[in-house]
Amino acid sequence: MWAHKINLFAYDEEGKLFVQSYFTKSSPCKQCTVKLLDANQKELLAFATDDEGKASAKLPSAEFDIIVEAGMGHQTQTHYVAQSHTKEEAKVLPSDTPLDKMLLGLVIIVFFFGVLYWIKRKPRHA
Amino acid sequence: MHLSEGLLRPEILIGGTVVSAVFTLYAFKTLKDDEIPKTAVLSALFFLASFVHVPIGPTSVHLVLGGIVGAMLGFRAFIAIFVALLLQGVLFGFGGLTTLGINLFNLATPTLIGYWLFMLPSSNRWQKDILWFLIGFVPLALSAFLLSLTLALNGDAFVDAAKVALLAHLPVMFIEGSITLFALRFIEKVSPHLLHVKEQYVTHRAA
Repeated sequence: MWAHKINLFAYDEEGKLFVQSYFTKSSPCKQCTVKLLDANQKELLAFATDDEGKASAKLPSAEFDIIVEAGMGHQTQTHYVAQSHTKEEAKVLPSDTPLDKMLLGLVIIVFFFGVLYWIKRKPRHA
Repeated sequence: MHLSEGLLRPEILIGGTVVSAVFTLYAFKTLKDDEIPKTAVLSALFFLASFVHVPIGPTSVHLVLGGIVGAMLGFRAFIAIFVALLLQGVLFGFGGLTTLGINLFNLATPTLIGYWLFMLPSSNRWQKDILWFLIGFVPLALSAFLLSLTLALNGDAFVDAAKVALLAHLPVMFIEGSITLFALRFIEKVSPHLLHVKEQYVTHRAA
């Protein structure tokens, strides 16, 4: 159902903040609200992403929180320090469903239910 | 369907957690050892289904397959979905730990309807196909309704989001209905004994 996780990428260049947000690499967070909050969670700036999930704005301060709201109960939040990320870093979007984590999840399921079976198993009579 | 952390009011989070905890503990307590392998497989199915994305409008939706989980597990679906949601939250950040209870309630409770639909008798192929389609369609529709209700109860600011949430799931309901129908038909063809839960249940009741 609802895209569960919103991915957020940000970098700044020459006093301007660039944000990119997406659910999956092929599904950008279109027209999503981006809010910049100060340390007291007071709104500094609010704007929306375009149809590619991208947005930019003037840096409001050196350090702030970025919130992306996709509606329907989905949002993501991150703390941002200006000049902490380069444009090149932001271009490299991570895989949204890493295979290794999926395999790890399956291994944990097998392990969990294996332990559960061991606990619940009926005693076998000879 | 995975509501994020930091959005919902504490009373909704607590209410969802308490109800889900009671249902899940009951399911664990009454789980029999021979039911565990099937529960594990369907937990893995539920865990993986969320990675199949369908872009719709400005957002993206994903499969749930809760109906088929509920049809084959009944109340045990709470265990399968609890484990899958926990791992999705911990490993991928889908939903979150504080919203685990309300997400579990919204997703697992409607799957019991899937189980009920699975138990309904069918006299011919058409009736059976319609029932199997509804096993996928109805639980997802109810989950979408519960999601919308949760958002609406959270405050006036979420009412519009709640309406959109319900509407945006309409296409997925048909997709899930179709997938469930074909999945059950496939199981019926290759491993019909897996669907014998119905007969076992009837036999057990008769005894």
